[in-house]
Amino acid sequence: MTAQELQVTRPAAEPESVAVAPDAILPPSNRIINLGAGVGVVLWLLVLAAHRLIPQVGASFKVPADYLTPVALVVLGIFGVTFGIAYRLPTQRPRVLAIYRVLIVLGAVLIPWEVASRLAWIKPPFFPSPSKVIGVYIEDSSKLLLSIAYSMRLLVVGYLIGCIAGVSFGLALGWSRRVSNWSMFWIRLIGPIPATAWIPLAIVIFPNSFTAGVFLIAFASWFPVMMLTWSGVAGVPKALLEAAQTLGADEKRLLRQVVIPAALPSVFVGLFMSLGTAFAILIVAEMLGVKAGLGWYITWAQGWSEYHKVYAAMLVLGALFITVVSGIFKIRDRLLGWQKGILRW
Amino acid sequence: MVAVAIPAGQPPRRLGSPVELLGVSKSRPKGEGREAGGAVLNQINLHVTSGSFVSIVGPGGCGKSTLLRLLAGLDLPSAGHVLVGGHNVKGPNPRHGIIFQEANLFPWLSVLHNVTFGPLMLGIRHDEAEAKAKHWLNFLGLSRFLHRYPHQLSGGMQQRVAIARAIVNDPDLLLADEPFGGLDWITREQVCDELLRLWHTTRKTFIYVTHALEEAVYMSQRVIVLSSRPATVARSIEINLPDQRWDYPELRFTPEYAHLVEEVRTVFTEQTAAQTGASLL
Repeated sequence: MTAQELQVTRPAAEPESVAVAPDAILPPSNRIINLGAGVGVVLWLLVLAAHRLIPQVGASFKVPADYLTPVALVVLGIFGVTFGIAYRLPTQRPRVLAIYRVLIVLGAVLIPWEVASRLAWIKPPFFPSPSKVIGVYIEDSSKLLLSIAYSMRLLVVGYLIGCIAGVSFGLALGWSRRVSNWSMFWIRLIGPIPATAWIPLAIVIFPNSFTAGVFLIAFASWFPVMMLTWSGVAGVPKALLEAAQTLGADEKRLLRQVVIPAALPSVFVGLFMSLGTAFAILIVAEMLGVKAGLGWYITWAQGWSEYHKVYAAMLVLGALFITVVSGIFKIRDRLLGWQKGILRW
Repeated sequence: MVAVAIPAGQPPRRLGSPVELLGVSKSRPKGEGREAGGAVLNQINLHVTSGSFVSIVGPGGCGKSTLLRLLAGLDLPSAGHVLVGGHNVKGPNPRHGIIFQEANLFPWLSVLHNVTFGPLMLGIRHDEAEAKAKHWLNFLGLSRFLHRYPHQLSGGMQQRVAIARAIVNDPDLLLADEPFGGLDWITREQVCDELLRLWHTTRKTFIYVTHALEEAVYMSQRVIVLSSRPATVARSIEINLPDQRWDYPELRFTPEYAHLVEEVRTVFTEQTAAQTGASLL
């Protein structure tokens, strides 16, 4: 018998359970969709009614522009369109419901806000009406957009520098005992100093407020990224390293093809953690004297007692954070797709 | 009749390397390992001819795994020489494949890429590496699972991927450290037969560490029984059974087979008793 013939006699591969069928999720029922749309439409009609029917207490002779009416009409339109989509394309129902949930909560918040504002229970400038806050996005859009661009530039540059430095330091610390022996003490000493404590020094060292801001943001994101990269590298199972070595991996490839992928989940935890800090420092840094940016915009609006602008800018900050985080999530999903099924995704 | 096409460019089959242990000792400093340190292996002399299948059994904690780590180059002996193919083992070497107790697959790589990892490390071209990997995965009945991740496979299949990963580098010596300890008995017998078939096809030198005496007899041409710690070779028992054992389902019930298992068990029991006696004193 030759080697090939032998293989014919081997038993067929055992039908072991491998397939993990994705849970079949039924699309939400008609009842749920009808209920969501119904509640939403009623709430937004109430918003509209409160806005149009309750007379403004203590109205000045100058009537402010009305932005709430078009917004409420657009929202009611959205309910109509998505309702149609839900019945035409049942697979889109989960998405439609997600939109409904957001709009229902928004409507529920707007009703008491609008009523309180109409009856002058809350008073400008500290507590403006919804219409006034919405108006900022229209009347002040160019300044706001410019501020977003400046903020993003500062954030992206600082955060990227911090992350690159954090990952490199973390790899060096985790991989080389000599590096960690020499620098452990200093990193423990310097790392936990809050970035804001560096402000006095940053202003002196750096030529302008932009570079100083970059430094502060980079510093704030560097430490968490470094610590989690380090612990990721330290946590790479020795058995995997030995397996790779017996397969012919040299030091360089061990680092690139085993240590880095194995440490990556931990690195991403660091990236997420430091993003929150980076945002906080962004606002502080922009209050240092940058001439544009959302932090500057908030300070400047506060100076003029234009609190509606403060609130509008705060919402933009929240939206920016969500956008950046979901961007990083996308990258993580690409790089760490293999973790699906190990972790709750 | 041909179930598997041998990919073009596969080097001609050659026998594995002979293995020689000359007065090999290994001791650990205090505070390392399971016990208080001291000698683990004591003056081991062993000769394994090229292309043979040898099992090593011994009482628990006697240093079987340590011996295998020395052969793989993951540890160095305190004294003596470990020679594979006439060369001193100085460190891990892709020519000495090893299958660990755990499959130790790279969780971020698919089955196929776990197996191509080795060839790519050795600088083999990508398509050639994939052809080799597919060949061995097919041999082990895994061709339907090339693009699964390890965690999507059962323990038996993971261990088969580990076997493919070790053999794809075309090593001269294949070491296995209780590779099927975590598997249920039915799967275990299947994978054992698969490993035997693999050995028969490739004629590499196989050294198989196990604590299952019956399995050692079933698999090997020779069973080495180690003494209790510090381990020396207590006995070497030749197993004169037919080569293609998976073709003889009744083999395990023959008197010759029973006799061989009994012989190994007797030596093993003596050694375990010696160990227990020593620890009681």
